[in-house]
Amino acid sequence: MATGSGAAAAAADAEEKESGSRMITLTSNEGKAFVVTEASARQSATIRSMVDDGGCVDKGFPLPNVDSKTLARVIQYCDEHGNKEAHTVDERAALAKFDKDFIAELDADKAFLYDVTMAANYLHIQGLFALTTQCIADTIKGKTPEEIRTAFGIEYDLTAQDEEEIKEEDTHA
Amino acid sequence: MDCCSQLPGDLLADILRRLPLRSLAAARAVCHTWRAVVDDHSFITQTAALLPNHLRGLFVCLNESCLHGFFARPSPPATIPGIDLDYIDDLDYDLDDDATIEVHCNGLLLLDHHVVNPATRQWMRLPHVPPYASLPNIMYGDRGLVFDPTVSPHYDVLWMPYLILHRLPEASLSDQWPPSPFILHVFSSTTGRWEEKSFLREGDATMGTMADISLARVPYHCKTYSVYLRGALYMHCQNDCVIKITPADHKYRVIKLPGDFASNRKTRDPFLGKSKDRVGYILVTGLSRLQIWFLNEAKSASSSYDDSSGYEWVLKHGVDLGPIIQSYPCNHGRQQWIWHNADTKQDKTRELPAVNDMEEFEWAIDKDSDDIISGANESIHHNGEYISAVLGFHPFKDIVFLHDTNLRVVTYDYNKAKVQDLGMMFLYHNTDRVVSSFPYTPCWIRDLPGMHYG
Repeated sequence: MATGSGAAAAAADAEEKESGSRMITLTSNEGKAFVVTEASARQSATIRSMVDDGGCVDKGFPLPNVDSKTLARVIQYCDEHGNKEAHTVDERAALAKFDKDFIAELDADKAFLYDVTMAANYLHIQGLFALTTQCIADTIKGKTPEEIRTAFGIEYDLTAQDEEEIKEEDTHA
Repeated sequence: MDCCSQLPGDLLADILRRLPLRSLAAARAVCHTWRAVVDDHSFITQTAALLPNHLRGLFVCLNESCLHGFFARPSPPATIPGIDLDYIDDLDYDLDDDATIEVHCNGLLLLDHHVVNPATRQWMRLPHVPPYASLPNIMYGDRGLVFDPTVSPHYDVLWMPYLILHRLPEASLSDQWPPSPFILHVFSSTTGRWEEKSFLREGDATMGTMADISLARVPYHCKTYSVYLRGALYMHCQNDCVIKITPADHKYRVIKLPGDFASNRKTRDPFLGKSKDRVGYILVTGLSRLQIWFLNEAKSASSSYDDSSGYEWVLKHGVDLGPIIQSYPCNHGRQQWIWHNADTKQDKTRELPAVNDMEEFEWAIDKDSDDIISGANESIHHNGEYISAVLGFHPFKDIVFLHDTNLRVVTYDYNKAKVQDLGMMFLYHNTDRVVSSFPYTPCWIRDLPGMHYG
């Protein structure tokens, strides 16, 4: 991969390899420690910037906003995307298949899906965040306001005046 | 489990921004929190900017050459939609035969063999329509395009058989047409192929017997139009009828057109089009007598037994435009519209200063002043003798586009009874005539299903 590139690039590559083999400890808000590869942890932009800033790699990273159950599931995603290659068509197809199964399983438990979405948001894991928000958006698509309220367990709190406004706008739409 | 308390506002925003316009409107009516999120991020205005809700110009097809051009305000080349179709990279087909536009629907054009989005310069090759099983000798048909990006990025094409007497089986000449159920070939971008779909008739009306339909005076070269509005496709068919097809319900209904076009010899081709969310019909009889009709549909009629009720054409306007067409102030200034096509693209001498796209065109009807003659350059000219072609409805204003015998395109505001000149539309030969015209509303959504880049 590094053939033909300059010495600086080769050095950076070597450093990347070395850092990729380092292990990092993430701690849930319940105090449970999870040891992951740095490549996996780097899926999170939040952790990546802390590592690159020379932060406390050895002490590990406490994550006060994420519980153990959620963190375990997030790490499952990061391991798949951080530790595996995605260069060939087959490799990319395997990852796409993983994503599909991963989100289908999450979709069955909405409360847990929201927890994972919030963790992905907090940790800035772009791919996971796109996956979960799209899944929630797909639940909304094609539904009437009443059906959306039922699906999301939302109380109806619009005033008669709001309703008039909406009716008015609908006739123009 | 209440997601409102569970998902913070900015996270909800990240979810809602992934929705199409129709779903955003529904989300806005869910609760206070959702309504505020949709409004605070102006999602509706952002999405609306990509939708076909702005008139960009007129696509006009001429006879003889099959050439078409685009009549619009002068603008920078990059903002002109792909008019010469040179981006269709489809080597095994000769595009010359394909350049005639058959239908426009919400920013998509249907050509002989392609569905094209000129705004994004993307296209899709349409497979050949299979033979029509119940009338194997009928090979010609009119096609309708079903596309509404506020609901779905998918599009359908319907094929409606065109009855020709000597190609019909003798035994069926006295049968009513269309039958119920009515089998139609429908291409859908969801499957990428033609399929037979069955439609049941609503109401008693048919177009008549097959003999009547094929014997009714056929206006040769007459262009017929179709409209897709609120989930229903309205196609102008033979024997002065419109067929309203609702794909979602698998229903169809025959609606007789007003104004006796078929038996009136001196008429221009009529125009069936969309005007401010209504189905409208423009008929010009004699030399300059203009009629504008709108279809009234009673909303509760669907379950009623009295099916003839609920559908009624209302004459909105009837006037003889003769005196107005013969003299009106001509437009020579920077507000002038011009003719763009493959030839004029190279011709620098015809270039007018481009207009900033953000600068709105000044419609005379939007000005409060009664007097539309404002610039010093404008003067009253002796103009055309009569109306030579109907170019369509403005989809969002009380305006129709007409072409007069002096080759000028004029708009007529039927509420204020005012004519405004847009400029000269070039025809190259004396024999050229306008075959069809499509008020074009660009759709800027990229990568519609099945579409390729040029």
